[in-house]
Amino acid sequence: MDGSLKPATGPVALLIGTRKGAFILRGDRRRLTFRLTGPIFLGHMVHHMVLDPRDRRTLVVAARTGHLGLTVFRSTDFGKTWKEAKQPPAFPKVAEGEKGLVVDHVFWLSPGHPMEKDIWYAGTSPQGLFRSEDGGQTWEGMAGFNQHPMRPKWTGGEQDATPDGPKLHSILIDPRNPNHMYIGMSSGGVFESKNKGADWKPLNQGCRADFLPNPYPEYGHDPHCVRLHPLKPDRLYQQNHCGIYRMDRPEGRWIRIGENMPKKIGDIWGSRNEGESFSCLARHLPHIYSIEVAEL
Amino acid sequence: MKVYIPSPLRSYTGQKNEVNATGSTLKEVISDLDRRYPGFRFRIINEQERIREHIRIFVNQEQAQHLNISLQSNDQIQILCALSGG
Repeated sequence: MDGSLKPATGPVALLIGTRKGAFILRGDRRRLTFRLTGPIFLGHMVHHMVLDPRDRRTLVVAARTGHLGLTVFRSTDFGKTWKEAKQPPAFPKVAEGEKGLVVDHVFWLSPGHPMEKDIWYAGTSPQGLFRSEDGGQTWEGMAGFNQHPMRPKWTGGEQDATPDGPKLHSILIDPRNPNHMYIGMSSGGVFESKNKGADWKPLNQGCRADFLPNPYPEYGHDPHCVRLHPLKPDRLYQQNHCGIYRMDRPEGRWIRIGENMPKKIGDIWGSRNEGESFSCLARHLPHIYSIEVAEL
Repeated sequence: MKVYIPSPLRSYTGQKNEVNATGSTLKEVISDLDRRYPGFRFRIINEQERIREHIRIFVNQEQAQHLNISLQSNDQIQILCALSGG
């Protein structure tokens, strides 16, 4: 275990993004009772709401409506008041007659490294990576990914998309090194950068993609969520179209650990023994986009 | 000229359903609205300068296909959210 990382023991809030707005479930100190606030931004599709762990007051929300384009909202007082981003994530404008990319929605928000105040990252649909240096007020594309010559091949293009659009998600920052990042793409796979997003390499060895002619390709996988172990930043987990996997760095090979996961979908299951057995944590969930656990 | 504002955009205009704007083209009118109501433009016009997929803009009841349409000061503009679903 990294000595600087400690388990959370205090109160938490669940930040919930839904098609009908955002909700906050705020727990007491012992996490026995929770109080519901919301809907926040009723009528907006809220794909992600994240609390900045560096100040535990700033909330950043990725939203759009069925008709209006995307935006990002920001609160510096835990949701009492909100301001809209001055410059939400957007791809570069192309020359007349060319077909340029258009951000449909921001799907993922990640605060930067604990030592990098006001840095945020955003992942979009279609797959784009954006960065803010002012706490989410203005956003710029990260050319190291968005203009990478392999991006069209990694992402598979327009036809290779989930029904709600292809997404870049799971932007993970190594807590020991702000230059070391991971991203997940549905579709595309898991990718790693060791130079703060200036360049990326696929990280999918050992991971199955049985919907492709080659079931173990270099890229083209469909991860739904990738997470760093909160106390062991050399350990990664992912759930994808084909299963649940774990990877221990510096080795770069995914190990399948989800064979004992029940096949039924729609419920939340948990494992306390690295996938040897699973138990059901919640059933009958409403239609939600995201849940983030925030330490208060 | 008068611009009709649909309900999803009224959070920008202080809940007004009609506002005045100036400009000799649709692009200038929308930019004028964005100056007065920051953030307004990007919700209806994408980064490639195209009207968003589910937004319709009518000038004197004729649907606008692009932003370079010339306008007169007495023209009427309606911004609508396209009907979708069943």
